[in-house]
Amino acid sequence: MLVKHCQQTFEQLVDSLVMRIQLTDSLKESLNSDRGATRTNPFELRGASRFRCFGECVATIPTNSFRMPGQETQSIAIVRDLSRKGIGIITHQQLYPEQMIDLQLENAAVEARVARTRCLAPFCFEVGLMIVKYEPREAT
Amino acid sequence: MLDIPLIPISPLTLSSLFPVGADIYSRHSGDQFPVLFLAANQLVNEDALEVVTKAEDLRLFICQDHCELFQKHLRDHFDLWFNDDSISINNKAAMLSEVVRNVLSEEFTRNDTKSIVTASKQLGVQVAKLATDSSITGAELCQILHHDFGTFTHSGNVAFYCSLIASEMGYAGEELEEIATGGLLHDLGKLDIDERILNKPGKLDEFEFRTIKEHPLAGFRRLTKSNEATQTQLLMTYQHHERLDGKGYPVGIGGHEIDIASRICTVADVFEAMTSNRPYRSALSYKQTLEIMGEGVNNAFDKEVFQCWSSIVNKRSSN
Repeated sequence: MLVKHCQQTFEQLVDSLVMRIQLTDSLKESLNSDRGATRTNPFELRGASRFRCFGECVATIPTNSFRMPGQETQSIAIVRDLSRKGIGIITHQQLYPEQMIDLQLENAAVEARVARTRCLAPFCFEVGLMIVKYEPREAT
Repeated sequence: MLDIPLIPISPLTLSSLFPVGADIYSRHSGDQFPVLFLAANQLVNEDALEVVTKAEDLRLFICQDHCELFQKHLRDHFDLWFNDDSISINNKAAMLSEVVRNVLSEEFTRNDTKSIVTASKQLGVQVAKLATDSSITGAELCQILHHDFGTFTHSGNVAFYCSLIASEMGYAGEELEEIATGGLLHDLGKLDIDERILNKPGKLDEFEFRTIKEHPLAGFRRLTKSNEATQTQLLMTYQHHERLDGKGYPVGIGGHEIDIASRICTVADVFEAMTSNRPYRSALSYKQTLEIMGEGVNNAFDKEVFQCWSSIVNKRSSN
């Protein structure tokens, strides 16, 4: 019941926003096919393994975080990977290091800090976030 | 013979009004050792001052031990000099360059971001003021500035160049000061990079290059935590290695996503780096540098900003 209610709230929120990410064909393909732990290299030292996943979330820049010119407060993002301490998303806009972001997932709310951003294509940014707080969503 | 390391100073920082407070040594290009030119408590007479200013093969130095005294002398009298109309703009530029270099050196060594930003803001006001003075050409300024490979020397020079470009492009007042300060702060992140990598005389390996590439991100993080920097300064620090074709770092954004102040900083930064002595190569001439940079217009550099800087530097060549 709880999951169902959360799903409804989440879907309403997602419906109210427009997906503005411009995914390239190769990225679309990899989102659908890539699963399991992500590859890493000797220059990327990570505390926890990242696992590929695919889902939607609503990313909000809270009022207590700084905002750079032209940044939208709320947008839809694609969840790309998850680890014990972090979450990787794809958004249409650039997010800046140290910015705090609230992520509304299907059945959880996550407060995270931006670690780094990389541009994959126009209106397509890969953002690595460090999870600060995780809360399962409750039914209201 | 002196065993203590000597630090070069510009003859334009000397004044016939106050003793310098540090022993000054001179050396002609053919001489093996420097000789005492002026004792700490002596006043330089105006004739001697004119000779040293004009002599192209004469260099002046102070002992490292006297560096603090010399700096104190410059800082104590700086406001007086800066507002004194009888002192030439070139002298003021030389003094300001020394003050900027040494304040940054001191603040960078202390490694307190908040205090670095505060000091940079104060210096940025003076740098912007100097850049708006039309009686100094860009190339005269290049001539006056030091071109050694220290992060603080580099940052000081970039601030001067950024201010000249911004002033030429029509920026004034607080906006210009903001850009000058951004120039001083743009390489703040290098404080987090191992000096052995920064000063490595040879080619960097992949790991070292990746480490160096972290400095815009590190600088941005430091500035956001200090809460003192403006958005322009944050972007100058974060984006000064981005390229118009999207092949830059840390994000890889391109075109007009890059802030205009950052595009100004990129041109100033590359020009300064190429015209300075590096551990692995000597400085390139202005002409060579502009030619090489010209090939990168529209890919690496903004055309309008590059042309603006090119015209500022070429003003001197025609003079």
